[in-house]
Amino acid sequence: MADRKFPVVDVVLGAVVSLVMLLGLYFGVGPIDTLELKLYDLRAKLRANRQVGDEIVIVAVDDASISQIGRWPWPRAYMGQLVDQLSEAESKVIALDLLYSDAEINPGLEAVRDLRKQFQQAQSGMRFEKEAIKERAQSQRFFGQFQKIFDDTDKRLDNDARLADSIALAGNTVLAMNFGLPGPPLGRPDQPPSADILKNSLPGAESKLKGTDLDAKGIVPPIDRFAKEAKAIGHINWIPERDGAIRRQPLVVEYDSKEYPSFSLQIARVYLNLDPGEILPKGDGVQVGNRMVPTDSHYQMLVNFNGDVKTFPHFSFVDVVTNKVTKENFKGKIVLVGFTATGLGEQRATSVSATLPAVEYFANVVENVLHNKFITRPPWAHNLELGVMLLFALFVTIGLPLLPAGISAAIAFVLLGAFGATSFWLFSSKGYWIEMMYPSLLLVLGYVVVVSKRYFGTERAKETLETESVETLKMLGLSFQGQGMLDMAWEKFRRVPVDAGMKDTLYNLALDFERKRQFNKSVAVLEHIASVDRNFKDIRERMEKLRAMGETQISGTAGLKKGRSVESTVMMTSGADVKPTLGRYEVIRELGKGAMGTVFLGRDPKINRQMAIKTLRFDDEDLSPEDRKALQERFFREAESAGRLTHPNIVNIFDAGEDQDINYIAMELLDGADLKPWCAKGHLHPLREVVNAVAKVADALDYAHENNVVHRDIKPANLMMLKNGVVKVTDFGIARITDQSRTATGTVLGTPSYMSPEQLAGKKVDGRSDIFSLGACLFELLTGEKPFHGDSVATLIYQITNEPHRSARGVNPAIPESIEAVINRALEKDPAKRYQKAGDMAADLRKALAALEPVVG
Amino acid sequence: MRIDAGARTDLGRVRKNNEDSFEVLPDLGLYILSDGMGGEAHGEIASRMAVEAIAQHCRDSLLDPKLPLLEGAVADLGVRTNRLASSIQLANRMIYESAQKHPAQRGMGATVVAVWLDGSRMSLAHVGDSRAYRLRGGALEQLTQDHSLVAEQVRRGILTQQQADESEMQSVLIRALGIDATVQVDADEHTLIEGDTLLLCSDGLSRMVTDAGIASALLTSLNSQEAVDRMIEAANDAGGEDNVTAVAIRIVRESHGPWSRFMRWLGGSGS
Repeated sequence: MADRKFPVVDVVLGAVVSLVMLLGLYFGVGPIDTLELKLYDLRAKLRANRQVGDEIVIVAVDDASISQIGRWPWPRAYMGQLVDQLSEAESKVIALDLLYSDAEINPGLEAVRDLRKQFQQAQSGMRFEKEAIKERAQSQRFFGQFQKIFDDTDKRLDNDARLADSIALAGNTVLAMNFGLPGPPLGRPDQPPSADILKNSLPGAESKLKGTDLDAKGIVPPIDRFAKEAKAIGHINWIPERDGAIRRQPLVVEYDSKEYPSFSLQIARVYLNLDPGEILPKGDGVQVGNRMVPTDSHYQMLVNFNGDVKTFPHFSFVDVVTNKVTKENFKGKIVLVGFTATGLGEQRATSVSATLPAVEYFANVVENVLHNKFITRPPWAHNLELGVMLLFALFVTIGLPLLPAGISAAIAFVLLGAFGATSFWLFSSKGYWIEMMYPSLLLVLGYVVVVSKRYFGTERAKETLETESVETLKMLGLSFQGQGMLDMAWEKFRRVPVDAGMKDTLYNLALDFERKRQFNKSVAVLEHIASVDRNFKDIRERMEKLRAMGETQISGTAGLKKGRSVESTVMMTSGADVKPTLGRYEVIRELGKGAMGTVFLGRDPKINRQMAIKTLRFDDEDLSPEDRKALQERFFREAESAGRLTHPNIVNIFDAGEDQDINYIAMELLDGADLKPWCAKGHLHPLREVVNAVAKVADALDYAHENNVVHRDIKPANLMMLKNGVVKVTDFGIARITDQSRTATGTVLGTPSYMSPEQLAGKKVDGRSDIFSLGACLFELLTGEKPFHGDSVATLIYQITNEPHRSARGVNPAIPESIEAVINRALEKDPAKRYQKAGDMAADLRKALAALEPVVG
Repeated sequence: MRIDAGARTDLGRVRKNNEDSFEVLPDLGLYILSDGMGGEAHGEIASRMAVEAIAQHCRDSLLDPKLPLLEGAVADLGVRTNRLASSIQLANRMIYESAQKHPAQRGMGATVVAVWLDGSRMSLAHVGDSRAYRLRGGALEQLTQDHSLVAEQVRRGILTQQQADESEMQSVLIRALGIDATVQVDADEHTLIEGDTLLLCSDGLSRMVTDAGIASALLTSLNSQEAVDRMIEAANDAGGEDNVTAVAIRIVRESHGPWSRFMRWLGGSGS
């Protein structure tokens, strides 16, 4: 890692993500907050254990009650009856979660009152004479009787009065009211609250809720008759969270500059026998007697839901009023009356249930207050969140970019797991709410962003780079192949992995090589395919065939690398039954290898003459087609001029041609060997024999020079001694061309032991250069050593051009001085000082030989 | 819109071999000209290699558009232009590697200028001092900047145009194919309108014949081939110091009336 470049971009990316999430924590991001709420619910559900105190029972207006008593609204007298019964059962608090904001509409009562009114009018309209006292008394008795009937009926029919009486009688009833929330701060509310409502307000001075969502603009109070008799009245307002669910209870609502406690809070207060003044909202909490209910700054308490519906003891309304429930169930308890019937009352989405009846919601709040079971944001929560986020930010910004992928993934996983587990544990066991979403999201998002940037940015780039370079190689290879540069194509293809497509490409390359008679290369390519798929197409048979045919050509060429051994046309014909041909000549068998090509035994079918066919190839991988063509032209030109030479000591050339990329020369078939073995020390031939042979060669050169043909490559290997004792010069002009082609393409030159100084200097050469070379040959044939022998080509060249040759007699004292004189003259650096004609040299040699005759005798 | 293209290369009056190569592929809309350099016959090899590699790569890319782009893509150029630039990169690689492999070819290189037409869209890419001109409304505009030492010095304000024209360093290039493993290719896009004529030429033409001479040859010839022949003739008349190669591409205004259709029918593919 140390040598890796510091990943600036990654760090910046991590820092940006961290910063964004930190800002999000401060300002709040809607969707993230919603996610946090979902996590809150998850934790709340884990915490809800349905373990509740036994102070609270619920009397439910449930579906059973509706079906037995009738459709809601019921006459309020029924409720009065319930209150009476509960009161009788000595309930501690009776809380009615029912909004009685209007007098009951009772057509019967109104009819009775109407009748009474008319009756009274009728009575007041009666006129009696003074003397009719008896009638008057009678009528008064009559009217009085009716008056009583009217009063009784009125009383019986006035359900509101009945309920008001029950409330008054019970004396511990808590009623509900509703504020218009949220109220924009429009100034004064629509109506000032009545005195009965006002007495429920808290004694505190100016409320800090003024102007907030909890500043009510309107009020829906219970009717005055109930309000007057109620022990306490509390509001049943609630404010949904951003996702519509309820998780908080506003304990206090402000209305007309006064603070009013909530329904649940009033229930708790009455239960705890506290005065209204003992509810004190202050700071981030509401003090109830001597206990503190923790809230947010707006006095909203996080409700600690104990469980789903029916967590608290439930009794059906109808069961209670029909006395099916024993009174013991209500003694000393808080009885919450409310709806659970379908379609009646409010059902609220909460953390634990999507449809929690309002009455149960209130029961939970009361229970929380009584038992101090709160969910809180501890004062250190924010610091903890900040700390965790900074830690995560550090990891995302510094750790992720620098650590290897595996380790950073493990660390991220552990961090996330530890944080998640901790916050779940804090919530469920301590009721501490830590915001999980922002820190977790910082980690997850940071991880995803930085890692995917790294993956797509570097790892992917590397991958595409790799595939691209493979594609590039393939493309280059195909381009080279398309332009006939097979070796360069092969070089590229070799580095490409062999897939299905590549096999075909390679196969085609092998065919191209075969077509160019580079059979070894063709085999190499096929072997490359075989290393992956031995049975691809016909490569096995093809390889076998190429190898078998190659072997017949390979004898004595082990050291040759360039595959010249297989350049015979033999290869081009698939069967042995067809005689291979080169031009119009039949190729019979290989005779041997030359420097530039193979020599075959050939036959001219027209005149049935056997001949040697020498093939020449200009290395096509080293030569451009243009170069090759130029060389070829020169080759034919030289071959033609050599072909014109007819001399007993010069090999006869019959024909030269080109067939399928192979250049060939058809020449006289010689039965003999070259003079190379004559040069080996210990195998030196007698002086006379050598000098005679060299003199013959000089004759041949003289003839050639006369005809303006320079050999350019006189050396023992190009001098043939036939079995019949005739010496012949071979390869007139040819070797020189090929040498030139090789120097042109940068191939290293062979050791130029026989070359003349002017030839080495690259000057134009004439016959005198051949004389120098012949002198060198004579030196070696007589001494077994070369006249110059530097240990490197460079020193050799220097010696030939600058230093005098060694003395022949110094090496072999048996050499006569006259012969040495010939050698010395032939080896003069300056062509002008040498023999000017080869014939002169021949004459001098013969003269010297003649002079020696008596001695040798 | 119909294309009338003509091309020819000529040895000139002084040189012994022609190192220029060109390729005209009307079916692809691809026109390539390259001027080789290097000793012996290597200039010819390089220029030949360049035009063939470019043609092959462009043709292959039509069959397989997913062929990799060498040296990446330039975002604000189209696919074809990027492809053309990539093909020149490929040619550069081939020449370069060939020269590396064969010591005798060291120093061989080539210029190239190529256009690839796609309807009225024209992708142009070049390296070196072979030029592309556009004749529009009688005015000849050079679309390419020579990558030669003197041209660069003129651009940088070191030389005046007159000094540059008299400089002995005129043939010294600052960019060419085959010199390095990668080469900076100048690529551009143009929109053609009917009546436009494009001219690609080697420096053997642009140095021998003035812009006015080129414009007049293009304007007064009946067809592109004649224009090319006349320009080469003019270059040779002016001395023919270098190989001369020109490729002219005329965007012919095609009338669709019955008379012209008849005339085209008469003249086969027309002139």
